[in-house]
Amino acid sequence: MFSRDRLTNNITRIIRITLYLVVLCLLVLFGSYNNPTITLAMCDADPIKYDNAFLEIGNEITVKTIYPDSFIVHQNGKLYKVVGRSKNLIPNQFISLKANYHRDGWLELVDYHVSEKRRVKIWVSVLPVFIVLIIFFKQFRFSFKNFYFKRV
Amino acid sequence: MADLLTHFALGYATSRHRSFADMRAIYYLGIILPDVITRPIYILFPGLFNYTIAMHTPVFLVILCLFLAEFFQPQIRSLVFKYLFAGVIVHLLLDSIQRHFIGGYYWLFPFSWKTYEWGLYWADAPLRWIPLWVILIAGYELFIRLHRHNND
Repeated sequence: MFSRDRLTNNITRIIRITLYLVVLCLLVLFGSYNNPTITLAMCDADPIKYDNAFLEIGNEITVKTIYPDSFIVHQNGKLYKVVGRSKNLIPNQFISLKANYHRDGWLELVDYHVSEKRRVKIWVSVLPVFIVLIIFFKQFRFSFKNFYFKRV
Repeated sequence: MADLLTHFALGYATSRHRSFADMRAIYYLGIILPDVITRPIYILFPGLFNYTIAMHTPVFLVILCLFLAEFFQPQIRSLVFKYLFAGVIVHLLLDSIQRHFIGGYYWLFPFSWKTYEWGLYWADAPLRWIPLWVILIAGYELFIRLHRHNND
């Protein structure tokens, strides 16, 4: 009787885990395909469709070269020319951009913001992950027999 | 998003009550969870940024907390969910009071793409307060240990 209960519990647990996993995957896919934001990768894939499109780009975009009336930025292994005057930009700085895309592959600057000390922020964020993991594994141990964490 | 050390410091400050004693590690896990599941992906692989959009939303995170709680012993599963999700909520609240040059947080995802935030400070602003958080936490821990040592 006990083992039958346990089997039922395990089956319902597996069903719940599978269900949560499916919903999580569906949400990720929904977020990816329905996101209204236009990315540079989308523009590159279909430049005519996105000619003159307004872009807001802020993910891992760095300044490479600065000219008096333009600058070059790097994102995802590609370089893009941004036409517009900039103030106080330094090469390798992380920035966020608001710009209009042009079918020839260049951007017309609308506005920009310098993301200060982005790399410092990333490295500083690694420390608490280790602290939390140490605290967690002091309190919990994984049981491979039951496939769950138990209090120590 | 604020750096994880600032999030952790807030988690530390809000979990001093004795009711957190057994579940503090879980609460801390919730505090760092939204960034831990998204940041490494889009920093290492910027092209996958769109897949991480859903992962920093309340709907996704509540299901993720339910999913993770399944990997704890049945007796504490509901408690794990509560503390994990409480940490997530505190994380999202801290994020929502900051200011973004572009984008923001999709609180109503997948029902709406409207972003909501209070915009009180730039995301990189808390970095300069990190030494203060470290001193306060270290000082408090030292005080507690000395107090315990004197009582023993």
